[in-house]
Amino acid sequence: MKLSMLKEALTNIIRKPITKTYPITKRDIEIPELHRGLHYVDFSKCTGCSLCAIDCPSNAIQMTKIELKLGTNPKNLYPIIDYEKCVFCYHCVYICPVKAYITTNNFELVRVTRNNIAEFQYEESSKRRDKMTILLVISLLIYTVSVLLLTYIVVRGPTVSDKVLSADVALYTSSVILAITGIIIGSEAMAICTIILILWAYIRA
Amino acid sequence: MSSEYVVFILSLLVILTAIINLIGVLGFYRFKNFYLRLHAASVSTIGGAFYPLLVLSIIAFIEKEHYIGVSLLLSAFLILLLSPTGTHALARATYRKRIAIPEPLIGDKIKEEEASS
Amino acid sequence: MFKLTFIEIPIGPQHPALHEPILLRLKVDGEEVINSEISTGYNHRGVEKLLEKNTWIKSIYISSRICGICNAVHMQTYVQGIERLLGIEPPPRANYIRTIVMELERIHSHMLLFAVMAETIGFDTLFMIVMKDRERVMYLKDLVTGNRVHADIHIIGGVKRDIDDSKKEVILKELAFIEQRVKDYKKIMHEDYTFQKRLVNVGYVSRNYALKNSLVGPPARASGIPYDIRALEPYAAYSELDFRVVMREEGDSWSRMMVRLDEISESIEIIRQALSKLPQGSIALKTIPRVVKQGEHISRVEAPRGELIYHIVSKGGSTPYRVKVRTPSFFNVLNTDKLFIGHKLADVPVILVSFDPCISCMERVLLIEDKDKPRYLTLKQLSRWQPK
Repeated sequence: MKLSMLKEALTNIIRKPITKTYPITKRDIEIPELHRGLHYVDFSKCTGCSLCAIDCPSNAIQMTKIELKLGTNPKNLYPIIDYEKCVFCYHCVYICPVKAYITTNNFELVRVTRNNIAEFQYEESSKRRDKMTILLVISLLIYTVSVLLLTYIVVRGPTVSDKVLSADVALYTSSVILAITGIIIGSEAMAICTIILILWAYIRA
Repeated sequence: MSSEYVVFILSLLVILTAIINLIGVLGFYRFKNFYLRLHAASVSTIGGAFYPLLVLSIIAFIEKEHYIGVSLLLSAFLILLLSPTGTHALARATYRKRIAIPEPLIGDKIKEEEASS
Repeated sequence: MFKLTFIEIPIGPQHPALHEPILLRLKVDGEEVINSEISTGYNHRGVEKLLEKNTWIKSIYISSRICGICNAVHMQTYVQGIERLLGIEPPPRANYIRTIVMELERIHSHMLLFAVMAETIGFDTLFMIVMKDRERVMYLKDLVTGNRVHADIHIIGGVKRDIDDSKKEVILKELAFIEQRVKDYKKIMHEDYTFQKRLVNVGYVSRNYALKNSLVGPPARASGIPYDIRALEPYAAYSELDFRVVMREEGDSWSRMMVRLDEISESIEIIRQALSKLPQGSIALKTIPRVVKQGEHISRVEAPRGELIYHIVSKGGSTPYRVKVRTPSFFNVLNTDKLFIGHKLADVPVILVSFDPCISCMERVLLIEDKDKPRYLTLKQLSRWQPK
């Protein structure tokens, strides 16, 4: 039987989960600059020709009378977009003869009524993670030193039972090392491997 | 604000347990007797593997990675159950087969009981 | 004493195995299917009426929203028909950019179907892995057109956005990665035990059956008919690009999936050639025409699922008089009911998914009249009419 997905399975053990938990890990998502997001009119350039309102497929633009008395707009009609009807096709942006539309790539247009949960959680989480990573790396180094000493005893120990004992302790310690790296990277598969390692150590003994 | 420092303190605890592990391994290296080495090994296991796994699972729950936290708790529980049975089995086997002799000996209660019964 | 009846199982409009509402009524004897009927109509939205009521420019954007996966080809067919009615030609750079967007869409649609097939046979891990790679293609679409799903990039007489050099490098780098992954998927299809057992010799379509019932797209090309509109009647920039029509002889579900995987490799080659041969020039005409003179035209385009036909009738004026849309899933899906007979119950979703049903594209009302007798139906009779 050929195992054609073996390489895939092995690389996936040390990888973080693919789904990005959206408000908490906002910095993993990259949006191109020209993504079609929120758009609005620069009132100093608009001439009131109403082409955008005539052509909008979902009739989302209303020309309203705002008395601004700028020289460019004799009828004082300006377009107001109803974002709940807009499908973001950007036909209005394309067809405006004076290019009066300002475009952004902001797509988060839902108004949140709780007090800004996403930003709060994101800031807290990133500060904690950086501090935690440095300290856990230091402890990782100390653990590897002890594992190296134990393997030295396995190779050159006085009696057989010494070797067995130090091998067991080395396995338990290396499971802790796996757990620490798992938390630093954020991959869940490594944490599950610690359980498997401990069971194997017990069965060996 | 407070949860920032909680994770900081917990990570310091993990460094402490790493030092305990190192001390245990040093003792393992330097003790003359098998049974003393056994004791050093069990200190090393519990203080250096069981306790930090507990602390790491608390860190995981704070960081909202629930799957990692639960699996680390499970591994800590497994170590708590399995390592003493392992060390007990090893000690009994080596005593019976007389592989390791308790060298600086004060008194051997098991021999006295066998001789008297 | 006991009358022997067969159980009728409805794989109903709402079912966890289906992705869109369709009713399959199967008569089952034990595990084997004896008779089957398909009825659709749960997703009818009245798109043809909407296209009649709006002006030419607004109806372009409506035609893009008939289907979510194949939206660029719907827009291409409609805009192509309008341009030929008017007698204008878009500039050559616009043709190349339209080709690149349509081929990107073909890649992501075929990857989606491969992932859905893996989920249907129970191989959930492969579903997740293929979807992860598909995210890179969605990022490319976002870079070129501005949105991950709806590429509203066509306009009468050209395209709205341009591709510059920095975008070209990103596209070529991601395509090299995807090409390597598609080779891994083909290796899995050849070697994996689950795929062999569940897809080979399931749903055999002979060449005669495909010709008689006018199947189009990859199901026809997997039965030995080399029918591809990109080669027969080249549109956009296909007459200047060099590619091969993928065809296989076996006719079962396995070869239908392999035809789609081979087409992904061909699409990657087409995009590379188009990017290296992009001509200079403008991308759209100066003014957009708003009134189309009288006439009618039929335009055909190769969608990822088959051949897509739009019949546009105009009587002068600023709105179309009648637009008829014929999507490829219309005949492909309605002809699968004879294929289920003789297979086990667990083979039914596999066959249906290998034909690539896109039910929300497909819902139109089709009236068939007797030869010389016109029949008048009231609305109540029309709602109860069932195909025989």
